[in-house]
Amino acid sequence: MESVIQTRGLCFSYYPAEKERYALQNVSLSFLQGEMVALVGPNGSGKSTFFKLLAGLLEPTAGSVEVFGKNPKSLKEEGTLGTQIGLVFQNPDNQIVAAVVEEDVAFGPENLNLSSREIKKRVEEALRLTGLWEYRTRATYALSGGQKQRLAIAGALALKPQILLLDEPTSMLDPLGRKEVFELLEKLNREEKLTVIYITHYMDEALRAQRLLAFGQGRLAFDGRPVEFFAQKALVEALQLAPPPLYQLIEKLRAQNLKISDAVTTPELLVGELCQLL
Amino acid sequence: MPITLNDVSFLYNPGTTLEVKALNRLNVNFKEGEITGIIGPTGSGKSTLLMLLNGLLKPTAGEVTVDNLSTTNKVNLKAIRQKVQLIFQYPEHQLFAETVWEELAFGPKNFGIEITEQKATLLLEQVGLSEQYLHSSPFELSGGEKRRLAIASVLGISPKYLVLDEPAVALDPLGKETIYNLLFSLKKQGVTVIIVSHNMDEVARLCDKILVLDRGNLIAFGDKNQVFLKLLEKNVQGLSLPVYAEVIKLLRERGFNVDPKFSLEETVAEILKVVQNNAKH
Repeated sequence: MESVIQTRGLCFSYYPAEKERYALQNVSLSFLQGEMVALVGPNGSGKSTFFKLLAGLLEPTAGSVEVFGKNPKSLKEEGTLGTQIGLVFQNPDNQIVAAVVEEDVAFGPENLNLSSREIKKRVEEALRLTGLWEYRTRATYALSGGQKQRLAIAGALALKPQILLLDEPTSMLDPLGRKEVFELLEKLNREEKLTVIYITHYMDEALRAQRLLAFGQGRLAFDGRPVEFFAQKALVEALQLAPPPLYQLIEKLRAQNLKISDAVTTPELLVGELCQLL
Repeated sequence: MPITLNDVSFLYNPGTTLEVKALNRLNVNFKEGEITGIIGPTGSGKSTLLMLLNGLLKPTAGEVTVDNLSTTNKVNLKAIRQKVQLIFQYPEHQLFAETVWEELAFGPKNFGIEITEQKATLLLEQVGLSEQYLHSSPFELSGGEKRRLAIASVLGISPKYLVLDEPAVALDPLGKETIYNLLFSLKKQGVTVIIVSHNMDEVARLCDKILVLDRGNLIAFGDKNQVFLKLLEKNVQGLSLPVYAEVIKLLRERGFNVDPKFSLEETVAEILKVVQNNAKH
């Protein structure tokens, strides 16, 4: 599979004068086209710094980032970074710029100097994908939290990026909003083949990724499948994390000799497999 | 009864075209020394209920009493607010003093309580913060530490009732754990704790009682297990179940005879029971 983002020896310090105070140290990895990747780690572990470096919001102190073979800074200067990487932050209220749903989604494409027909087309596509088409003429302030976050995602999608980068996209939402937004991300990854990279404190969301990156003290402490990560108890504990309740249940059931596969990441899938055993 | 809601309704903007009924005829008794979790979808009236508990809002109809003092009577408010301390979401955003000690001293001063250095040290100890921080700026603390400092700053008033809106939201797992342990230890010291939370696994773990609101109506109030049992049968839009209850619910929907359980061990036992009774031979 094609690599979409590549980092080599990536380091960052907020205090470049004091060389030892690195927020991120020596991270080399690549993200592949169509991956769904969760970034986890305690507060202050470097995951948000890593995120900002990928998004071109910070420049590396040492090492490099390449997005489709180019430095994010030069993509930003060309004005094409937004069409490669869609950014979504914690609080959708900070990202919504217009008073009406469809106008908000149109804001990005309008800045690309596209024809009005193309803008219309993109707005419709983005709103349909995020399930907001029927809300297109609503006032943005009147949306629920989950709808607002979906709108922020629609705004990013209208630029047709190949990668979605999200910083704790569900942390300010209620359970219904969380479910809406996370299921949307899974759909965009599965059906639109978008590369989805998200930071989360919710370990149940991390379990549902294809790949998990764990950060600790500015270093990449784990890179692999979520189930393999949660199986490494000492590491999980050292990172001040805990396996999600569902994973704990699966482990206990396995300890009782029930065969539960690694594919189980939701209560529905667990019950499905349990029923096969019966 | 410590905190009692007697037929309480609350309207925003009553008598205008913008009138919204936020709470509808609630009757609730919060018992002493228990942890109660208030749950419900967005817009169900949870925050309105919190603000009624210490008289920030007055009921449009009915009465709220705290140790038999009515919040409707202005004379009682100071006494009520000393008893009932309200901690909003992200209380660390309200930190402002230059040192941790000043932060701890500010609230109690308004009630004529002096926070000596020794008392400040004790408060920090109570929330698991090192006394080394006493003279540091509150803004040097990490997110989870700031949250605990904000909680410590109301404990100086020795509240009998502590009401918290989403106490552990947006903290990392360790930060959440320290808040849970703090609430458990406050409960042991006899403090009555009332929390609002969206996190069902958190509510399942922390609370003795659960109160469910939906569009201003009381859907259920009582012992944790009984309330979850009720929620298994009745879907409240926008409310999710704890993961274990979700698994049990799905098994029941498939026709298996499982008892609703909400802890890890009990859920494992229930599933094993089903497997043993139904195993393919």
